[in-house]
Amino acid sequence: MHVKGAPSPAKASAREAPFALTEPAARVTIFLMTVSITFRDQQYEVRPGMTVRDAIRKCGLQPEAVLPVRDGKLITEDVVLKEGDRIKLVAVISGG
Amino acid sequence: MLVAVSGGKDSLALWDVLVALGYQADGLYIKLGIDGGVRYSDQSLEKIEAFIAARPGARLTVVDVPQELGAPIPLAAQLTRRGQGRPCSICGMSRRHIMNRVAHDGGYDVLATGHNLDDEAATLMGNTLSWQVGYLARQHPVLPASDDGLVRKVKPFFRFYERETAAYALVCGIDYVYDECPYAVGATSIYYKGLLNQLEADRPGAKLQFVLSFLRAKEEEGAFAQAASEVTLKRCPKCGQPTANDGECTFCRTWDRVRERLASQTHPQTQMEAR
Ligand code: SF4
Repeated sequence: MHVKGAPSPAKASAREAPFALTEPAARVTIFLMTVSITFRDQQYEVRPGMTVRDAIRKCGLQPEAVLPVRDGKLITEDVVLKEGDRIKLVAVISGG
Repeated sequence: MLVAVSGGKDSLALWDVLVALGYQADGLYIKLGIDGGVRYSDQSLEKIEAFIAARPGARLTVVDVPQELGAPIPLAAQLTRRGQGRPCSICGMSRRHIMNRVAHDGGYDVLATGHNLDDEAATLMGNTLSWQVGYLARQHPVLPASDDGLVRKVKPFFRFYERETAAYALVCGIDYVYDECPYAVGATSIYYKGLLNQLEADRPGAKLQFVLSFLRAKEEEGAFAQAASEVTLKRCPKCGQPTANDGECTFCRTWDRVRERLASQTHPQTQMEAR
């Protein structure tokens, strides 16, 4: 049985190394390009290809409560994130 | 015009807009003596000083609470046990008093504050949930001056979302204090803002509609008019500011108590040092 949304068995087996790595010197580090998002002292990582609004939601934050900044410039929520983007979220809620 | 500035995005954005529109807008900063590990008050004043340095002609009045009244706000709250461990009650009361006094004594015809739509919606939500009829009667973006010494108060940003004022400050390169007052953590107003943002996400425009329909109900249907007319103010015999109390106003009573308790704490120590 295959559960919807879970990686398919075929995909899972494709990820397995086709050979055994025995020598420590043969270790390979794979960098997956992601988008990094910082909010206050928290750091999040999301996949590229989604909109800023969706990424903010994915981090469990309210899009209404933050402003996204990339390379020091304010960007809109419909911007689609690219690999390697670094987004800073500025909190807008104040009060006391 | 006098603009109350805290060093935050809303008040600095408001000051910037008023100056750009040609108003003679002078700033008022009330230094509360709050550190909270982030030098909150000092940092706020530094941002304001940087703001005015870039705007020749902008004038600033600073009221230093610890110096002028005898204690920083958090200590005053501790000494009076007001506000259940939070200094916000004494802080809000003192700021309102000082703002009115400086505006009145300085001959300003209007006092402007940077309250935005989210502030108004959160206040309205809080007042509605507990049916604070008196507060609801007085919640308005324009409060007229009164014969008993209250200056005219305006909230020019009351229709702007908090996000919009923050965006304005970022786009215009206004450097403001990002750190929140350390005592704002867990504040009810922030909780209400979170709830209202959830509502706004599902129903865009809900916050604006909430505030505007409340104001319409007051203006067109006279909602809360009776509660508004019930308030009669007298003059505090000590400071001359308007008060609903018989006798001294809450500000004078509270700060007298702070200074008394401070003196009774420091007095034995002074005697010991003299020995
Ligand atoms: S959070 Fe409380 S103590 Fe801090 S500035 Fe606001 S009212 Fe004053």
